[in-house]
Amino acid sequence: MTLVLAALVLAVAGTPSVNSVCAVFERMVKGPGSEEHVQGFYYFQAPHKVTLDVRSPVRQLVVFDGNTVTFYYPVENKAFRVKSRSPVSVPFLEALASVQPETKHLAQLGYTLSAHEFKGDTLVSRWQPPPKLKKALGALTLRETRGRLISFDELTPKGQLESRTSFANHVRFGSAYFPLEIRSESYLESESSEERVTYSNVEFNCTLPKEIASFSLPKTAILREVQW
Amino acid sequence: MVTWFINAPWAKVICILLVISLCPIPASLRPAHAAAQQTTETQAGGMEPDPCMTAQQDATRDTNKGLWFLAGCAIGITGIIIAYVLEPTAPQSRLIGKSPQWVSVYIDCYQRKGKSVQGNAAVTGCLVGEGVLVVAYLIIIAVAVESEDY
Repeated sequence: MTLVLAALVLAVAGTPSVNSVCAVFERMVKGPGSEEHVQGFYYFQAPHKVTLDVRSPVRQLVVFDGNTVTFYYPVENKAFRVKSRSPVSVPFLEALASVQPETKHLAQLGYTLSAHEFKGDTLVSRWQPPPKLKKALGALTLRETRGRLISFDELTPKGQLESRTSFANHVRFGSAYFPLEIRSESYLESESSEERVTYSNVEFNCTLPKEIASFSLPKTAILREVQW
Repeated sequence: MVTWFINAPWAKVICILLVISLCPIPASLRPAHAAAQQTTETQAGGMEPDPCMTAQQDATRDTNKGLWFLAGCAIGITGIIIAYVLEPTAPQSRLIGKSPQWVSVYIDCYQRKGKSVQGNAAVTGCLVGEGVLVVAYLIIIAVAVESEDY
Protein backbone atom coordinates (compact mmCIF):
# COMPACT_ATOMS: atom_id res chain seq x y z
CA MET A 1 0.00 0.00 0.00
CA THR A 2 2.88 2.34 0.75
CA LEU A 3 4.09 2.22 -2.84
CA VAL A 4 0.65 2.99 -4.16
CA LEU A 5 0.11 5.79 -1.72
CA ALA A 6 3.49 7.19 -2.55
CA ALA A 7 2.46 7.23 -6.17
CA LEU A 8 -0.88 8.80 -5.50
CA VAL A 9 0.14 11.25 -2.90
CA LEU A 10 1.36 14.65 -3.77
CA ALA A 11 2.97 15.10 -0.41
CA VAL A 12 2.60 18.19 1.68
CA ALA A 13 6.23 18.86 0.95
CA GLY A 14 5.43 19.10 -2.72
CA THR A 15 2.56 21.49 -2.24
CA PRO A 16 3.70 25.03 -2.89
CA SER A 17 3.64 27.43 0.04
CA VAL A 18 3.09 24.78 2.73
CA ASN A 19 5.98 25.15 5.13
CA SER A 20 4.37 23.65 8.19
CA VAL A 21 1.21 21.90 9.27
CA CYS A 22 -0.18 21.48 12.78
CA ALA A 23 -3.10 19.22 13.62
CA VAL A 24 -4.65 17.00 16.23
CA PHE A 25 -4.72 13.36 15.24
CA GLU A 26 -6.51 10.30 16.45
CA ARG A 27 -5.71 6.82 15.26
CA MET A 28 -7.60 3.61 15.85
CA VAL A 29 -6.27 0.22 14.82
CA LYS A 30 -8.46 -2.82 15.18
CA GLY A 31 -7.08 -6.28 14.59
CA PRO A 32 -7.94 -9.80 15.61
CA GLY A 33 -8.37 -9.59 19.38
CA SER A 34 -6.94 -6.13 19.82
CA GLU A 35 -7.96 -2.52 19.52
CA GLU A 36 -5.62 0.41 19.95
CA HIS A 37 -6.32 4.12 20.22
CA VAL A 38 -3.62 6.75 19.93
CA GLN A 39 -4.15 10.49 20.23
CA GLY A 40 -1.86 13.44 19.98
CA PHE A 41 -0.56 16.28 17.87
CA TYR A 42 0.84 16.14 14.38
CA TYR A 43 3.49 18.58 13.16
CA PHE A 44 4.97 18.78 9.70
CA GLN A 45 8.05 20.85 8.91
CA ALA A 46 9.12 21.34 5.32
CA PRO A 47 10.80 19.69 3.58
CA HIS A 48 10.13 16.30 5.15
CA LYS A 49 10.24 16.27 8.94
CA VAL A 50 7.21 15.00 10.80
CA THR A 51 6.80 14.94 14.57
CA LEU A 52 4.06 13.18 16.47
CA ASP A 53 3.49 14.38 19.99
CA VAL A 54 1.57 11.42 21.37
CA ARG A 55 -0.45 12.19 24.49
CA SER A 56 -2.46 8.99 24.92
CA PRO A 57 -2.09 6.14 25.82
CA VAL A 58 1.50 7.13 26.63
CA ARG A 59 3.49 10.33 26.44
CA GLN A 60 5.79 9.90 23.46
CA LEU A 61 7.49 12.06 20.84
CA VAL A 62 8.07 10.39 17.49
CA VAL A 63 10.29 12.25 15.04
CA PHE A 64 10.50 11.06 11.43
CA ASP A 65 13.45 12.62 9.66
CA GLY A 66 14.88 10.98 6.55
CA ASN A 67 16.19 7.51 7.38
CA THR A 68 15.92 8.04 11.13
CA VAL A 69 12.99 7.74 13.47
CA THR A 70 13.39 8.79 17.09
CA PHE A 71 10.99 7.66 19.81
CA TYR A 72 11.42 9.72 22.95
CA TYR A 73 9.61 9.22 26.25
CA PRO A 74 9.89 12.45 28.27
CA VAL A 75 8.42 10.93 31.44
CA GLU A 76 10.84 8.01 31.53
CA ASN A 77 13.63 9.99 29.79
CA LYS A 78 14.21 7.02 27.50
CA ALA A 79 14.65 7.01 23.74
CA PHE A 80 14.96 4.67 20.79
CA ARG A 81 16.67 5.83 17.63
CA VAL A 82 15.89 3.63 14.66
CA LYS A 83 18.06 4.03 11.57
CA SER A 84 16.82 2.41 8.41
CA ARG A 85 18.63 1.48 5.22
CA SER A 86 16.10 3.43 3.19
CA PRO A 87 14.03 6.57 3.87
CA VAL A 88 11.15 5.88 6.22
CA SER A 89 7.68 6.55 4.94
CA VAL A 90 5.66 8.35 7.54
CA PRO A 91 3.04 5.87 8.64
CA PHE A 92 -0.67 6.59 8.45
CA LEU A 93 0.02 10.26 7.90
CA GLU A 94 -0.53 10.10 4.19
CA ALA A 95 -3.98 11.24 5.15
CA LEU A 96 -2.69 14.65 5.81
CA ALA A 97 -0.70 14.73 2.66
CA SER A 98 -2.56 16.01 -0.30
CA VAL A 99 -4.12 12.80 -1.56
CA GLN A 100 -5.11 13.51 -5.10
CA PRO A 101 -5.67 11.35 -8.11
CA GLU A 102 -2.13 11.86 -9.35
CA THR A 103 -2.43 9.04 -11.81
CA LYS A 104 0.58 10.24 -13.76
CA HIS A 105 2.68 8.91 -10.89
CA LEU A 106 1.07 5.51 -11.33
CA ALA A 107 1.92 5.63 -15.00
CA GLN A 108 5.50 6.50 -14.11
CA LEU A 109 5.64 3.40 -11.96
CA GLY A 110 4.62 1.33 -14.95
CA TYR A 111 0.91 0.96 -14.19
CA THR A 112 -1.38 1.06 -17.20
CA LEU A 113 -4.97 2.21 -17.34
CA SER A 114 -7.06 -0.78 -18.39
CA ALA A 115 -10.61 0.54 -17.92
CA HIS A 116 -12.55 3.54 -16.70
CA GLU A 117 -16.19 4.51 -16.31
CA PHE A 118 -18.34 7.13 -14.63
CA LYS A 119 -20.73 6.07 -11.88
CA GLY A 120 -22.72 9.21 -11.18
CA ASP A 121 -20.11 11.89 -10.59
CA THR A 122 -17.49 9.34 -9.59
CA LEU A 123 -14.80 8.30 -12.02
CA VAL A 124 -13.79 4.69 -11.47
CA SER A 125 -10.52 3.69 -13.10
CA ARG A 126 -8.74 0.36 -13.10
CA TRP A 127 -4.97 0.11 -13.32
CA GLN A 128 -2.86 -2.91 -14.13
CA PRO A 129 0.58 -3.36 -12.58
CA PRO A 130 3.77 -3.37 -14.66
CA PRO A 131 4.07 -6.70 -16.52
CA LYS A 132 7.34 -7.50 -14.74
CA LEU A 133 5.65 -7.19 -11.34
CA LYS A 134 2.39 -8.95 -12.13
CA LYS A 135 3.32 -11.87 -9.89
CA ALA A 136 3.86 -9.58 -6.91
CA LEU A 137 1.34 -6.79 -7.44
CA GLY A 138 -2.32 -6.81 -8.26
CA ALA A 139 -4.55 -4.35 -10.04
CA LEU A 140 -5.76 -1.09 -8.50
CA THR A 141 -9.18 0.49 -8.62
CA LEU A 142 -9.35 4.23 -8.01
CA ARG A 143 -12.45 6.29 -7.35
CA GLU A 144 -12.34 10.04 -7.65
CA THR A 145 -14.96 12.72 -7.41
CA ARG A 146 -14.42 16.30 -8.54
CA GLY A 147 -10.64 15.99 -8.43
CA ARG A 148 -10.54 14.33 -5.03
CA LEU A 149 -9.43 10.78 -4.52
CA ILE A 150 -12.10 9.14 -2.40
CA SER A 151 -10.88 5.56 -2.33
CA PHE A 152 -8.64 2.98 -3.87
CA ASP A 153 -8.72 -0.80 -3.79
CA GLU A 154 -5.70 -3.00 -4.01
CA LEU A 155 -6.14 -6.47 -5.40
CA THR A 156 -3.83 -9.41 -4.97
CA PRO A 157 -2.12 -10.77 -8.09
CA LYS A 158 -4.88 -13.42 -8.11
CA GLY A 159 -7.56 -10.73 -8.21
CA GLN A 160 -8.81 -10.90 -4.62
CA LEU A 161 -9.49 -7.69 -2.75
CA GLU A 162 -6.49 -7.11 -0.49
CA SER A 163 -7.25 -3.73 1.01
CA ARG A 164 -9.47 -0.72 0.60
CA THR A 165 -8.44 2.78 1.63
CA SER A 166 -10.97 5.57 1.64
CA PHE A 167 -10.58 9.29 2.17
CA ALA A 168 -13.22 11.68 3.39
CA ASN A 169 -13.83 15.10 4.85
CA HIS A 170 -11.43 16.92 2.54
CA VAL A 171 -10.33 20.47 3.28
CA ARG A 172 -8.90 22.72 0.64
CA PHE A 173 -5.63 24.61 0.85
CA GLY A 174 -4.61 26.41 -2.31
CA SER A 175 -5.37 24.08 -5.15
CA ALA A 176 -4.90 20.94 -3.08
CA TYR A 177 -7.36 18.87 -1.07
CA PHE A 178 -6.40 17.30 2.22
CA PRO A 179 -8.57 14.45 3.50
CA LEU A 180 -9.04 14.66 7.23
CA GLU A 181 -10.32 11.13 7.53
CA ILE A 182 -8.62 8.06 6.20
CA ARG A 183 -9.80 4.55 6.66
CA SER A 184 -7.93 1.44 5.62
CA GLU A 185 -9.27 -2.06 5.75
CA SER A 186 -7.15 -5.08 5.06
CA TYR A 187 -8.88 -8.27 4.01
CA LEU A 188 -5.90 -10.58 3.86
CA GLU A 189 -6.25 -14.11 5.25
CA SER A 190 -7.38 -14.30 8.83
CA GLU A 191 -5.47 -11.14 9.71
CA SER A 192 -8.13 -8.69 8.64
CA SER A 193 -7.58 -5.31 10.22
CA GLU A 194 -8.95 -1.82 10.18
CA GLU A 195 -7.19 1.47 10.69
CA ARG A 196 -8.92 4.80 11.00
CA VAL A 197 -7.14 8.12 11.32
CA THR A 198 -8.86 11.43 11.77
CA TYR A 199 -7.37 14.89 11.88
CA SER A 200 -8.86 18.01 13.37
CA ASN A 201 -7.85 21.61 14.09
CA VAL A 202 -5.64 21.60 11.01
CA GLU A 203 -3.55 24.73 10.50
CA PHE A 204 -1.35 25.31 7.49
CA ASN A 205 1.83 27.35 7.87
CA CYS A 206 1.35 27.34 11.61
CA THR A 207 3.95 28.32 14.16
CA LEU A 208 5.42 25.14 15.59
CA PRO A 209 5.91 24.90 19.34
CA LYS A 210 9.52 25.64 20.24
CA GLU A 211 10.12 22.19 21.74
CA ILE A 212 8.98 20.62 18.47
CA ALA A 213 10.72 22.96 16.05
CA SER A 214 14.10 22.58 17.73
CA PHE A 215 13.75 19.15 19.30
CA SER A 216 16.87 17.30 20.26
CA LEU A 217 17.32 14.42 22.66
CA PRO A 218 18.36 15.46 26.17
CA LYS A 219 21.93 14.40 26.92
CA THR A 220 20.70 12.54 29.98
CA ALA A 221 18.22 10.41 28.01
CA ILE A 222 18.80 6.65 28.06
CA LEU A 223 19.21 5.96 24.37
CA ARG A 224 18.99 2.66 22.52
CA GLU A 225 20.02 2.74 18.87
CA VAL A 226 18.66 0.20 16.43
CA GLN A 227 19.78 -0.38 12.85
CA TRP A 228 17.09 -1.65 10.50
CA MET B 1 33.16 -18.97 -6.03
CA VAL B 2 29.43 -19.65 -5.86
CA THR B 3 29.84 -23.04 -7.51
CA TRP B 4 32.62 -23.86 -5.09
CA PHE B 5 30.30 -23.12 -2.16
CA ILE B 6 27.48 -25.15 -3.63
CA ASN B 7 29.71 -28.04 -4.58
CA ALA B 8 31.75 -28.08 -1.40
CA PRO B 9 31.23 -31.45 0.32
CA TRP B 10 30.80 -29.83 3.73
CA ALA B 11 28.06 -27.47 2.54
CA LYS B 12 25.37 -30.12 2.76
CA VAL B 13 26.52 -31.27 6.20
CA ILE B 14 26.42 -27.71 7.53
CA CYS B 15 22.97 -27.20 6.03
CA ILE B 16 21.65 -30.32 7.75
CA LEU B 17 23.22 -29.32 11.07
CA LEU B 18 21.69 -25.87 10.79
CA VAL B 19 18.28 -27.31 10.05
CA ILE B 20 18.50 -29.58 13.06
CA SER B 21 19.58 -26.70 15.29
CA LEU B 22 16.69 -24.56 14.00
CA CYS B 23 13.96 -27.13 14.43
CA PRO B 24 11.03 -25.50 16.25
CA ILE B 25 10.69 -26.31 19.92
CA PRO B 26 7.51 -28.28 20.61
CA ALA B 27 4.74 -26.09 22.06
CA SER B 28 4.68 -28.12 25.26
CA LEU B 29 8.32 -27.19 25.95
CA ARG B 30 7.93 -23.46 25.36
CA PRO B 31 7.67 -21.01 28.25
CA ALA B 32 4.07 -20.69 29.29
CA HIS B 33 3.96 -16.90 28.88
CA ALA B 34 4.89 -17.10 25.20
CA ALA B 35 1.67 -18.82 24.26
CA ALA B 36 -0.64 -17.55 26.94
CA GLN B 37 -0.84 -13.77 27.06
CA GLN B 38 -2.50 -12.32 23.97
CA THR B 39 -3.44 -8.81 25.00
CA THR B 40 -3.08 -6.45 27.93
CA GLU B 41 -5.30 -3.57 28.84
CA THR B 42 -3.78 -0.15 28.32
CA GLN B 43 -4.13 2.89 30.53
CA ALA B 44 -6.56 4.32 28.00
CA GLY B 45 -8.76 1.27 28.27
CA GLY B 46 -7.82 -0.23 24.89
CA MET B 47 -6.47 -3.71 24.42
CA GLU B 48 -2.74 -3.78 23.74
CA PRO B 49 -1.42 -6.87 22.01
CA ASP B 50 1.42 -8.84 23.55
CA PRO B 51 4.62 -7.24 22.15
CA CYS B 52 6.58 -10.43 21.56
CA MET B 53 3.70 -12.26 19.95
CA THR B 54 2.89 -9.23 17.80
CA ALA B 55 6.53 -8.89 16.78
CA GLN B 56 6.76 -12.56 15.87
CA GLN B 57 3.60 -12.38 13.78
CA ASP B 58 4.79 -9.20 12.05
CA ALA B 59 8.24 -10.63 11.37
CA THR B 60 6.76 -13.83 9.93
CA ARG B 61 4.42 -11.85 7.72
CA ASP B 62 6.91 -9.19 6.63
CA THR B 63 9.84 -11.40 5.77
CA ASN B 64 10.20 -12.16 2.09
CA LYS B 65 10.67 -15.90 2.43
CA GLY B 66 10.83 -16.42 -1.31
CA LEU B 67 13.79 -14.07 -1.58
CA TRP B 68 15.67 -15.77 1.24
CA PHE B 69 14.86 -19.19 -0.18
CA LEU B 70 16.39 -18.08 -3.47
CA ALA B 71 19.40 -16.64 -1.64
CA GLY B 72 19.96 -19.97 0.11
CA CYS B 73 19.41 -21.86 -3.11
CA ALA B 74 21.70 -19.67 -5.21
CA ILE B 75 24.57 -18.84 -2.87
CA GLY B 76 24.23 -21.59 -0.28
CA ILE B 77 26.10 -21.03 2.96
CA THR B 78 26.80 -17.40 2.12
CA GLY B 79 23.05 -16.80 1.78
CA ILE B 80 22.41 -18.49 5.10
CA ILE B 81 25.05 -16.42 6.85
CA ILE B 82 23.65 -13.20 5.39
CA ALA B 83 20.14 -14.24 6.46
CA TYR B 84 21.27 -14.71 10.05
CA VAL B 85 23.29 -11.50 10.14
CA LEU B 86 21.12 -8.98 8.29
CA GLU B 87 18.72 -7.10 10.56
CA PRO B 88 15.13 -7.33 9.32
CA THR B 89 13.25 -4.05 8.95
CA ALA B 90 10.23 -3.69 11.19
CA PRO B 91 7.21 -1.47 10.57
CA GLN B 92 7.86 1.55 12.77
CA SER B 93 4.24 2.60 12.79
CA ARG B 94 3.73 -0.33 15.16
CA LEU B 95 5.70 1.50 17.83
CA ILE B 96 3.59 4.65 17.92
CA GLY B 97 1.72 5.02 21.18
CA LYS B 98 3.50 2.12 22.85
CA SER B 99 5.36 2.19 26.14
CA PRO B 100 9.17 1.97 26.18
CA GLN B 101 8.96 -1.51 27.67
CA TRP B 102 6.64 -2.64 24.89
CA VAL B 103 8.91 -1.12 22.22
CA SER B 104 12.01 -2.71 23.69
CA VAL B 105 10.47 -6.19 23.80
CA TYR B 106 8.98 -5.75 20.32
CA ILE B 107 12.34 -4.79 18.78
CA ASP B 108 14.15 -7.73 20.40
CA CYS B 109 11.49 -10.25 19.43
CA TYR B 110 11.13 -8.87 15.90
CA GLN B 111 14.83 -9.03 15.19
CA ARG B 112 15.15 -12.53 16.65
CA LYS B 113 12.13 -13.89 14.82
CA GLY B 114 12.94 -12.03 11.59
CA LYS B 115 16.44 -13.50 11.46
CA SER B 116 15.08 -16.92 12.28
CA VAL B 117 12.50 -16.76 9.48
CA GLN B 118 15.09 -15.43 7.02
CA GLY B 119 17.56 -18.09 8.08
CA ASN B 120 15.06 -20.94 7.91
CA ALA B 121 14.04 -19.91 4.40
CA ALA B 122 17.69 -19.67 3.32
CA VAL B 123 18.48 -23.08 4.85
CA THR B 124 15.49 -24.61 3.07
CA GLY B 125 16.67 -23.00 -0.15
CA CYS B 126 20.17 -24.31 0.41
CA LEU B 127 18.89 -27.84 1.06
CA VAL B 128 16.61 -27.79 -1.96
CA GLY B 129 19.48 -26.47 -4.10
CA GLU B 130 21.76 -29.19 -2.80
CA GLY B 131 19.06 -31.79 -3.28
CA VAL B 132 18.54 -30.74 -6.88
CA LEU B 133 22.29 -30.93 -7.47
CA VAL B 134 22.52 -34.38 -5.90
CA VAL B 135 19.62 -35.66 -8.00
CA ALA B 136 21.19 -34.11 -11.10
CA TYR B 137 24.53 -35.79 -10.31
CA LEU B 138 22.80 -39.13 -9.73
CA ILE B 139 20.99 -38.87 -13.04
CA ILE B 140 24.23 -37.96 -14.83
CA ILE B 141 26.06 -40.85 -13.16
CA ALA B 142 23.23 -43.24 -13.95
CA VAL B 143 23.17 -42.15 -17.58
CA ALA B 144 26.96 -42.43 -17.80
CA VAL B 145 26.98 -45.90 -16.23
CA GLU B 146 24.19 -47.04 -18.50
CA SER B 147 25.93 -45.76 -21.62
CA GLU B 148 29.13 -47.55 -20.53
CA ASP B 149 27.19 -50.81 -20.18
CA TYR B 150 26.15 -50.56 -23.79
